[in-house]
Amino acid sequence: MSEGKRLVAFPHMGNNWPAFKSLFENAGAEAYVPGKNNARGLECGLKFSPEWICLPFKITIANFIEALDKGVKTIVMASDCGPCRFGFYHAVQEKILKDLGYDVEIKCLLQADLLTFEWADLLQSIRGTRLPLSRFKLLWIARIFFMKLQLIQLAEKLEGKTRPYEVRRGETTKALERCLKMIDEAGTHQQLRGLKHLIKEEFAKVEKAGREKIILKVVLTGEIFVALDCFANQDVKKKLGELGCEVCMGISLYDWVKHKAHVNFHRKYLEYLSKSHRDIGGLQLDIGGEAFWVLGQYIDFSRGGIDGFVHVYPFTCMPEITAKSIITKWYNDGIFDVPPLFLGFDEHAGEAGLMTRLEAYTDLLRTKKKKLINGN
Amino acid sequence: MHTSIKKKQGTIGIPRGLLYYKYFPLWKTFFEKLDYRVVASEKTNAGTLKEGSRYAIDEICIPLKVYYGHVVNLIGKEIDYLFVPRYISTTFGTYMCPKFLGLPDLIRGTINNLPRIIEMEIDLRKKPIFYSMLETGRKLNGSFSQIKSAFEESVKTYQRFRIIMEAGFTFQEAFDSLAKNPAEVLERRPTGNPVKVAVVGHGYNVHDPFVNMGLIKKLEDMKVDAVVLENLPVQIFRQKTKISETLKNYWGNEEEILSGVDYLFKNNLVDGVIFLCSFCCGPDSLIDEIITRDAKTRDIPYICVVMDEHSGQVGVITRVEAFVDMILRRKRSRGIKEAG
Ligand code: SF4
Ligand code: SF4
Repeated sequence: MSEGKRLVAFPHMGNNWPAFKSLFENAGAEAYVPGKNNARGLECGLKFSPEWICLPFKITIANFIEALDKGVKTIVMASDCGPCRFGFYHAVQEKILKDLGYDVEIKCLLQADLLTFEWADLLQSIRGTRLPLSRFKLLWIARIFFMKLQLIQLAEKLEGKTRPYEVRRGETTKALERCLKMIDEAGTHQQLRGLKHLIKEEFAKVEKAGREKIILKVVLTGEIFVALDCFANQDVKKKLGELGCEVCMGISLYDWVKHKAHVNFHRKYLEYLSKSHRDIGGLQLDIGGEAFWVLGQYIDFSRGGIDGFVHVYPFTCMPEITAKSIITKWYNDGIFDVPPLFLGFDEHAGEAGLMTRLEAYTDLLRTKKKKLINGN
Repeated sequence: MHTSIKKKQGTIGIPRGLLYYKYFPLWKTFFEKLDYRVVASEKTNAGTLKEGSRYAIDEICIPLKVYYGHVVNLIGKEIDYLFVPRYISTTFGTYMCPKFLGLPDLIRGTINNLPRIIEMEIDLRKKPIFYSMLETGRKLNGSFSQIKSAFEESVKTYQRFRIIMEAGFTFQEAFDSLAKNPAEVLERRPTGNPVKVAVVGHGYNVHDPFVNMGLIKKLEDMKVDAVVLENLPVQIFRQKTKISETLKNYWGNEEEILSGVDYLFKNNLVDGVIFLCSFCCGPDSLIDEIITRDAKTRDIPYICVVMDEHSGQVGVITRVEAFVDMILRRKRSRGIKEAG
């Protein structure tokens, strides 16, 4: 570590760490990337978390403890101003960590509205030097951040598309890892621009089998942390892929950040879909989490093009349970005919149980699709 | 005389759940002044929960299941409208729990054969309450002046209701005494029990004897005075509570719990605090953590009683009894210390 640079840690969420790393490094701090989320970390997080808080809290606090033990003193945690539990995370986590005796400062990255530019103050404050970040530099940092997120989104999309065809198990995952490494190493616009092509190539290189079996197309969506982090969702994406499903990601961090910067028109469309189904219970406003858009997506996708809809959420998650209640009813009443699968995750969920459920679900979808193809 | 009784415009059913335990006097007066008949669903009982669970998915919190039960109960009655409010924000800068935000949608999306739903969207971040009530009143064919006077009347009733509760009455007592002559009412309940305990939590947990398994009554039987949040002076709830340097609380319901508890702790008004929460409740899981830490630093006895469908009455009562015993022992040993 070079002199004077402040070491900053942040939560590990899925494959998005390269973007955050560059964000803080470009601002002039040293970034500490917590290791991949794992069972040991979670166990430690559980010890110090409120008993029935949602899963992301427990995992992120484990990240922080790991970082603090390595000598990090500054942590950046995103925050929101309601209506869900998420906005409380950083404050309660700070209390818990301080009570444990850690000398820690949690800085919150207020994401309620990115156009208020509060993030600029945050970047300035972790900088370590008083030298102000110029406006030009700020925009440059933000642009790199956006580009990296976009590339990560691309890689995740291709990963979902490629996996069901791979000949040798695990090749897609390896390709994804190579892509992330490239994204992490690229530092300038030019390099990042070139990467788009390279990422596509990476996945094209994966050896693919012919299309003799029926490949299902499934959407994976839900609460952002659980949907994106493969430890939190017990690798549901990979499992689905290996069961012969093309997994289309209904959510990504890029999508979310765009939404918070008011430039996500697709989400606006989804909002419209949900709102216009008022009579049957379409949500009328954002109630936290992803519920509002999940309903929109379900309506959107039900119009064709997909076979299954997998909705993942942390157990007891308030907004997603609301969405689940409504979608369940819609499907049972025959208003929409894409079978949804709901998976709630917490620290107790067993791997074997998940596999059985996924197998049963894909079998169901396959039977349905076969019937459709054979025309009866 | 028959001719002098105006024909009512219809009947509005109000489910006896969730915010019923806070705003029912207000809603009732408002609708009655607009010439509607108001019926509430039957008091919560085992059947309510059972009916509700048929419609609600498993993971949802009990208060919501109970609410479903009340809605179903009302559908069986002759009502023209069902009142399902959408409370988004009740003070500037706060939100309600996500489930309140989507309540009408949730009800519409999960229960069939509903009567017409009357929504009332309360969002103080965007519009004053009067606007919301005006919107609602318009839908019910009220004229502007009629709505205005109904609004004023209902606010008055609500304020009176709060004053009565502040004097130390329970929800039901206060509600019953609204009909009485004001002069008769304002007499504090005689107290004098050795132990005083605060029972805090959401109104629908604290004031619904079925949900909390008769806890308040049990406490009385144990010779313990129970204080609920509404018994505290209204003005203490006006200040915003801070969770930490960087965070102000943003949940409307929790705001009351936090500032109430803070007031109780700071002024040493009670011997202990019981927090009633529902299993799977999002906000409570965090609030409990915050109060626990606070209670520990101030050395005040505190327990959090979590209620779910399967928690038997016996378990809860045993815990509360042990808690009260502990307080008594503490008091005794302190008394000895002070005397010696
Ligand atoms: S959206 Fe769900 S997981 Fe996220 S804070 Fe809210 S309840 Fe927890
Ligand atoms: S505040 Fe808690 S108990 Fe009340 S509706 Fe929300 S989750 Fe349920």
